[in-house]
Amino acid sequence: MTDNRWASTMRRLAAGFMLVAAMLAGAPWAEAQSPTEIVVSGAAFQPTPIAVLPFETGSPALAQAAADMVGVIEADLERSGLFRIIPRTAFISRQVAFDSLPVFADWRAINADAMVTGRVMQATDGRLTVQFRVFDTDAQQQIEGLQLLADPGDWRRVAHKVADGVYAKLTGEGPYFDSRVVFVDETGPKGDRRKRLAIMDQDGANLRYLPGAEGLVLTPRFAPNDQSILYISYESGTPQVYLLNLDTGQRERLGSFPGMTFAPRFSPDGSQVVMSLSQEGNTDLYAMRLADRQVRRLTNSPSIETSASFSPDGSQIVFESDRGGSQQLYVMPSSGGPAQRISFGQGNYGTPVWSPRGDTIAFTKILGGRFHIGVMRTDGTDERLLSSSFLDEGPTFSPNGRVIAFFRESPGQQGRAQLMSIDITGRNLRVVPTPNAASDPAWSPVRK
Amino acid sequence: MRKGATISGAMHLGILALVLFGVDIFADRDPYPLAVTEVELVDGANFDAAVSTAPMVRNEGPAELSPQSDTDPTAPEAVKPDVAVSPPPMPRLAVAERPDESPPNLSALQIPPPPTDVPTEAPRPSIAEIPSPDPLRHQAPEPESPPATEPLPALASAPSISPAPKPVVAPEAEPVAAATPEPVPDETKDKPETEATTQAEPDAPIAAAPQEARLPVAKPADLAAAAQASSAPKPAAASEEPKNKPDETEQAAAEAKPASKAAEPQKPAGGSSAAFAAALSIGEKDALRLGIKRYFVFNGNRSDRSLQVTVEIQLGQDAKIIGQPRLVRGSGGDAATQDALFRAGHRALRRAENAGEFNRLPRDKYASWQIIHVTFTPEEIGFQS
Repeated sequence: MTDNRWASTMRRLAAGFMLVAAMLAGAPWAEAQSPTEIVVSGAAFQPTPIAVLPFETGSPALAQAAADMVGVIEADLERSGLFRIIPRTAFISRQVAFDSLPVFADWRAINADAMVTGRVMQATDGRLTVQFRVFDTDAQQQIEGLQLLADPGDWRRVAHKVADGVYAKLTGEGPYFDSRVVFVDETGPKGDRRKRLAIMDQDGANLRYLPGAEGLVLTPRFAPNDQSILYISYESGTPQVYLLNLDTGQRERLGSFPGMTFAPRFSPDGSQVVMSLSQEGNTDLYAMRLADRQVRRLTNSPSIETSASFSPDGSQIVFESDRGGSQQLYVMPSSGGPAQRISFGQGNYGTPVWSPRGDTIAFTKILGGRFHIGVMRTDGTDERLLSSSFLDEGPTFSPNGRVIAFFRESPGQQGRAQLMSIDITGRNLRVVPTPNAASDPAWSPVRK
Repeated sequence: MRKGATISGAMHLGILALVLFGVDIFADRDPYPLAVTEVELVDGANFDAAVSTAPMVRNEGPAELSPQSDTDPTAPEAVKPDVAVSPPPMPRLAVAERPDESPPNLSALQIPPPPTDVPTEAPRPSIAEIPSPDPLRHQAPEPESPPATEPLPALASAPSISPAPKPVVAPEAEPVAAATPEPVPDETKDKPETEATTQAEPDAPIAAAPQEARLPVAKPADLAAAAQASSAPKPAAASEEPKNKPDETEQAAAEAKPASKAAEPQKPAGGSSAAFAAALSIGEKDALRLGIKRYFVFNGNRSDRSLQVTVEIQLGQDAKIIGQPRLVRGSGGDAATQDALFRAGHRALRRAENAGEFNRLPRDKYASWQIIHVTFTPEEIGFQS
């Protein structure tokens, strides 16, 4: 009996030792079976080096078209500030057949993160057929491949579409190269400016002047369908809102009000227009339903409410008001109602515009005698000033919300307004080329 | 004093005696008395016979669990599976569906059927077969100087882009047998007809708009063909092939090789002794984090603070990435943004690998860094390890 108990005790002690040993040994081994977790936060910003190869052509007659298209594509990507075009003189592989696999080592050797190949053909119906591929040289794989068909006269649009495909795939942002900008073209001396509406591609090409929209015109705004424009004209003596149909060239005055109407903007669905109506010294916001021209008052305050802009979902409106004693930004339901102030920094805020992405609001800020273009989140937080000058004003978002265009005017009698663009990160400030002085830009949606 | 020492000594001796001579001091504390059941060994034949005659019993297990879970709202939730170990599929990104494991097949470009509203010219299997086009009615770029004020009739017939069809997703990569070199296929010859999508010539009215159609990501299996082609004896027609094709062959073969091994996890280095390797220290993890961050570049939209992706890499004992980095999970932003962030992370990992950042990992802890999950967030969120 004693022997049995002794043996039992020894077995228990031995089992305990084995259990403890197993626990000690098993812990690190068990951890080794689960992956090591690392968190890498805070990415750097650096333009992506990209190689755009000459596009193949099925015929020498297409060579110039292919070269022109590649030029537009490179210019689009480079102008975005998110890409650095690798010059062809650095290429190791001079030509990559469109249907062949690139030698990725050659492209990594010249630090190309991505490369684009393409082919231009002419279909039997006369249209251009443009195919392109985008390769990630690190992943060694094709990440995009598209074919576009277009009339030869639309070759610039095709090039913009190709650039959009490359841009969207590599950045995750929406496209914006195939879009247009309407603005006020200014000529003549500063005291006697002739202002007329002009429209051009976002890169400055294909500039046209809009018929009838001459004299003193202001604040053009694109419709969501890209086919209509709202603007202010003084042709009746007082500023009134006009609607210009780009398809037909017809234009009409929106409503007949005793006072001034100004600062118009379409709702996201294009069904209504919000604008400011000034009567007897008081300015409030009104919404007009375009289907039946029914007008609804949105604000009723003795202060000045103007520069309304819809949120992308159409549920809210941001506008500027001096109801608090200084010019600030407010957000209210698009049907009217209580407004919430969102700007609390020093200085005055004006001309707010809601980002198409819905996450930010751009504005003009007057602080310390200088004008700034800035952005903030829709609740007013994270305010950042992107630019500063004697006069920066009138921000407008690119269709993808990544770029802001505005106009900058230099001081003095010889001061001249010009269009500018800047990335919402504050990088890549550029002059948008226009033949004359230009102001009040408005960016169109991406063309359908 | 002596009395206390005496009592203490007696007590210790008593305890020792109890332990050594059979009194189990833990026996009374065991709330679950052991039930000893004698068993007898049964051979296989008798067991089969007994089982075959036994009645079937339905498993009623879940019914016993349901009352507690239904009536007790405060009951703890079921333990969720470790997503890091068993990552759920990410349908939004569909990165796993892409042929990450292998480059595309460009030797057999398959243009998907065009939009039904506007036919597209049938794709040609080779450039040589492209019909000689008529002279292009190409219009030079219009001068940027403003022309005379003119109406906008062109806008009236502004072209529209037809919606692009959904991208064709190539099948999953298959293990590639890249060892057998074959002659380089002549690109000017016809591709196999089975690889080309035949389409009717367009007879329908021509739309004035650019149309968009998505080219497929080519089959990953054709990596082998490309690799073979690059390593094969080259005919004169292929004289433009770059000189370092063999490197690509080796690389392709190297990538194809782990692809077949990916299913079976590698054993830790050093056999059983390595299995007991310690985890990476905080300092080692931080060094790795900084080494990867050095190459982390992301130019996309960062407005969503919750944007992040987690990428898994499997490292060999030579500190090289085996196969391709794999998306484990993503959150925040939209699918395109996550996709771009995944590629940025992929690139950072590859650059870190090429820069030898993984070589600094302690070899004796290979078991702990054999598989690493790296979570990439564009915005700085402070120190984490």
